[in-house]
Amino acid sequence: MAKTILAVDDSASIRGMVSFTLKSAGYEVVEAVDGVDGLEKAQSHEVNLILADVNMPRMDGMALVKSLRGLERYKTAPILMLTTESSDAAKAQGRAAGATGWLVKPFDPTRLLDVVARVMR
Amino acid sequence: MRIFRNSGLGIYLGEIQSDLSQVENLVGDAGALLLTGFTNIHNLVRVQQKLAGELAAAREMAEAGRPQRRQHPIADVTDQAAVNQESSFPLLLAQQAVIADQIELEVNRIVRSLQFQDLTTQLLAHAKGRLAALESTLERIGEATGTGASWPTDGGTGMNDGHGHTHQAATRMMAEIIQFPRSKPVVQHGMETGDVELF
Repeated sequence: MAKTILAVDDSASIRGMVSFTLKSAGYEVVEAVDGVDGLEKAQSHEVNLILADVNMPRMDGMALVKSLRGLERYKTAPILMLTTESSDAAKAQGRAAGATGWLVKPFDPTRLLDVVARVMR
Repeated sequence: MRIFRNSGLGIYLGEIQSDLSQVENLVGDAGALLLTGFTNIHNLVRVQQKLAGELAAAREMAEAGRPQRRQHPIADVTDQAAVNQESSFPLLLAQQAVIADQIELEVNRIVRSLQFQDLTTQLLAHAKGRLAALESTLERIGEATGTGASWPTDGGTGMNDGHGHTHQAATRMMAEIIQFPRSKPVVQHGMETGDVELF
């Protein structure tokens, strides 16, 4: 059974590229437009990995990670941040929030798939 | 806005904001067009790859029914042509596989490039925010004089003052705007692949 990845980003083009990359590799993809939408879909779908932007309206990526870690189902699920932020302070904040990894945009499809496969092992 | 809009500086800032909005629209349209074109190219490549597979399967079936051609490759001219054709199949397929790998690399590059919309959109939002804050501050400077001074409404750039209060208010308010967050959301200067770090 194909694994499902939740892609959370307020950018339609990023969601499109992420979905294309992941679906080409055989993953199922659920898209969300911000943190609130992401949290709702994480609870309404069986998701194996979350890929989330940081800067989003309504609920940002950091708040989303904290909320997900508060749910029993996602206590240890892999959560990768995909963001333009690259500062050490931002990465430290993500790590403290409970993120599994940090990918800086623009992402390379091969590299994204490699990281996804690694954290889902 | 009401006092400031028709001043020379207000018109100038309005043009900058209009330009930024236009860039944002153009970037959005370009991103949509690129995505459509890229998707179509990818689908065509998939069809091509499938066709190559079918050709390979057809060749295997033909070989299974004609083993004698390999025993007498030169005797019959027609067979020679067929042998030539058959021997080119492995090379053709190998070449197609190399091309397919190269196309995949190009596709990955396009995927990386298409992300420019997200990066530039964030930069534009940041620039527009700074402009909006500056405009608001300048508006407050005009309102804070209280001594009859005002922003010109004829396109001029100077404020009619001569009062020390105006200068002090402007200095104070400009100090406030310097407090506007300066950390940029995007530091990338090109579309090179970003770093990856696992915690």
